[in-house]
Amino acid sequence: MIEIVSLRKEYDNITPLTDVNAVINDGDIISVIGPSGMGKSTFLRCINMLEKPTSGKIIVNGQDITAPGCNLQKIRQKMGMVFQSFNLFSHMTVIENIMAPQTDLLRRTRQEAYDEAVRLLKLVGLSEKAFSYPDEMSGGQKQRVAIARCLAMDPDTILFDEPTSALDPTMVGEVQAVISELAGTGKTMIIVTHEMGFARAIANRVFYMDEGGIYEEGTPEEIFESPRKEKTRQFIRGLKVLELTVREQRFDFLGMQTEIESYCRKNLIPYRMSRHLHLAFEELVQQILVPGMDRPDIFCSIEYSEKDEKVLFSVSYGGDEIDMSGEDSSLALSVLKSAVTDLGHEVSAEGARKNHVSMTILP
Amino acid sequence: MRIGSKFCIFLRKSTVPIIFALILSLSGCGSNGSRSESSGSDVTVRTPEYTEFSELKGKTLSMLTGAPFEELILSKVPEVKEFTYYASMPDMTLAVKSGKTDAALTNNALSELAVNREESLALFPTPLKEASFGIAFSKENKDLAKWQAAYDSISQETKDLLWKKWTGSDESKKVMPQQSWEGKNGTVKVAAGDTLEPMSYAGEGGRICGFDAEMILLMAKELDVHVEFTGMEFAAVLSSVQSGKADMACGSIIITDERRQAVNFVEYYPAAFVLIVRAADAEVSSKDFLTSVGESFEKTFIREERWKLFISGIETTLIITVLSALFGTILGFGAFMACRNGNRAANVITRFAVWLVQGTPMMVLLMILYYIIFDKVDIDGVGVAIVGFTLVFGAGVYGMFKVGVGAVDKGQLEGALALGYGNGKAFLNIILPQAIPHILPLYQGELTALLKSTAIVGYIAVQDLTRMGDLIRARTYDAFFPLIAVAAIYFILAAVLIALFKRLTFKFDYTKRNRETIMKGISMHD
Repeated sequence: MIEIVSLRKEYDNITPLTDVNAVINDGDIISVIGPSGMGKSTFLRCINMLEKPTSGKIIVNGQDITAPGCNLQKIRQKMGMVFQSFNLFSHMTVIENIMAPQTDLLRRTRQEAYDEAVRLLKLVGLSEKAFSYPDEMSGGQKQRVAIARCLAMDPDTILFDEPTSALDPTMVGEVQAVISELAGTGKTMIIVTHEMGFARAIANRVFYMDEGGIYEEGTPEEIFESPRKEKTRQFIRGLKVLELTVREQRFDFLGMQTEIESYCRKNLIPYRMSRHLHLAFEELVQQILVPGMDRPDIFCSIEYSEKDEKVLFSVSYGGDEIDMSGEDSSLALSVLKSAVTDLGHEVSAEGARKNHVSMTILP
Repeated sequence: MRIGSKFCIFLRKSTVPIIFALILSLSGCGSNGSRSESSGSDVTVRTPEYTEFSELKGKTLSMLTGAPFEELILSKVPEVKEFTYYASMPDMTLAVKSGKTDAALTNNALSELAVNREESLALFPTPLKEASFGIAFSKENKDLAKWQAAYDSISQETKDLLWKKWTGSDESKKVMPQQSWEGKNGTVKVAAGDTLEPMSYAGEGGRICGFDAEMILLMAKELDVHVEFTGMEFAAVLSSVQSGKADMACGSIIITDERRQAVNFVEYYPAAFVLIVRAADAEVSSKDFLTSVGESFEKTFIREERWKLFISGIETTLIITVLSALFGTILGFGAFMACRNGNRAANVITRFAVWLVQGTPMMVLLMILYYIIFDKVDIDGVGVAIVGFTLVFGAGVYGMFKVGVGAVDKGQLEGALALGYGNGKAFLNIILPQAIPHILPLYQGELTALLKSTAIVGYIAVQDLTRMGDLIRARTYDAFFPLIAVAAIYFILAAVLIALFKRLTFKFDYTKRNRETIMKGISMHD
């Protein structure tokens, strides 16, 4: 069992991990996902102390490995790691790569090490490459050898640091197949990956990392089907979000239109859809909501889902509810309805902005 | 011109490019057959080309480097075309003969010998200045008076006979007496110039002989002490006494006021500054090229078994090179290992030492070690040379390891650490074997450079290969064979050293392995 308590990692100019807490049970297979630069790899590298945490504890089977004087070598021998860049020893052949840690660290004889290496090479399907040097192999083959080398130490836990990120797309499959096979052996595995399908299929738990910690965790179904938190949902759906706030009667309408314009262009939103988005913003905010408020407090959120090619436009505002179907707004409302669909309206019981309007922009 | 001649000296002191040697030899070989080492007569009277100081006006005048007497000359000859400077007597007499210079200033001993040997040379009739030869003692040495008394007790006849013996051209007479007395009063160390024939020079078997040397033996017999001569360049002789490396020094030293400030002297034979000029009836030799090459070969290698000098020079050069390389490698690797994990103190010390050693010219570093740091320590020139070259080679090795290890991908260390390797084991088993192929070619280059750069150890009284070439040149007055031989021997030594090195390091290069070595001792059919 691995417990991570208040883990914090600071670099000179950036703090990727502010407060990470997790309990990893024996036999867990955990996918760690999240946007780039949110500390996924740092988190993984802290678990075997390749990165020294600034503060916090990592407790492996009851032993705090961040404590000074801890025998890290023994811990690491039982906790393998597979790197994005393979890190095979380039001065050794494949067979030596797998034999060396056994003879150097486990005091096995050369013959024992050799027999084990042959078995493992067979397991990863590379028996015929025993006498090749790493430089002579493809990325996928190198990564499979790296996994075999890691297994030669017979670890309880294996850490995978983006094992397929450096690979040609055609080779991702062979490596994932080997990892999937390992998943049945009862070893604890922690996998940092950008391959969402793989992350979902292999894991029994998923960590979504953001904001310097584990932002949300759950079963693959929970995380991928019905994430509870906003950022998780946006990440899983591949959502691009633009947020705008209006706080004055005479707000910078043209400036905001320009912002929406560049957001549409950046995310390659189809032209007609972007016209409709402009129209919806103008009619709802400029024509209907702002004129009816003395001190406007309007928050607009625009979400574009690449996967569904859909734009969701939702508006929350404070103060009294504004009757959209009033006489003054009837023209604006009819224009709005020509650009959107699923126009919904609700009032929540709590929060500063109780009134919510949401709609889907027509393509 | 001064800069030019300095450059020539530098070239000769350091590595000897073949072309340069060839040029020297062409200018020297043909014209030196005229000399006869055993003409037999004691006094030679020849008519000089110039007899009045006024005739020397507007001519080129020369002297030995380190013996600057321009003002003395200018007091007699108010206007000269230029002064030129030579490192040794042979070079300078050659220059007079070939007309590169018109007159050469030396002392009476050196000039009498030169004129006795060279038919085409003559003495300028008027000496420029009278003085006295001296034997130098350090200011602290209390035995000076005893030695002076011993000198004074020797009869003038004996002294004059000695003078004739050594300045004459009959080589067969020039034999040093054995130190057959008991030597109850201990042994004195004498720093002796080794290219100053006839006063003090390396004779047969490289042993010091000459007028100065034999005179010291006569005095030593009176005092019943034994004498141990150490041959060295003239420039090193006085510093050796000052720094306490030797008890006394000889080598055609003329007493001057400036020198008196540094050391004390036993005053003995009268000296004079005289000029060597060409003889009025000088003729150019008519010997053919092959004969003179043959003679030159005989003089360089056969006569007095001079090839033995080359052998002993090679030994010294090899000892310095191999031991410096060995200790330097240990030092450099040790420094690298101490600095590898970012130990602050080790890094600061190493960086400072490397900066200091690499920023100092090798020759200056050696002289600082010899005359200042190991001043009072009982360590000979070879030891000091090994220390100096160990430092320099160590700095080089340290740099090589930094480069070589830096060239290994950082992921290799991480990969090893993640498997559970300790830091040291990861370095030795994983990083170092990958760094070595980067290091070996650099190391090989550095080794050759080391071999060649040891050629400067002559400055701290070490008789290495280059210095042996100089000694022989000083005796034979011939540049061709000594220089070519020295150059060729360096080439061969470098080739042998590299071949041995390659054999030795072959198995450290992982790229050179085959499947049999990889799978040694493993049965693959199970």
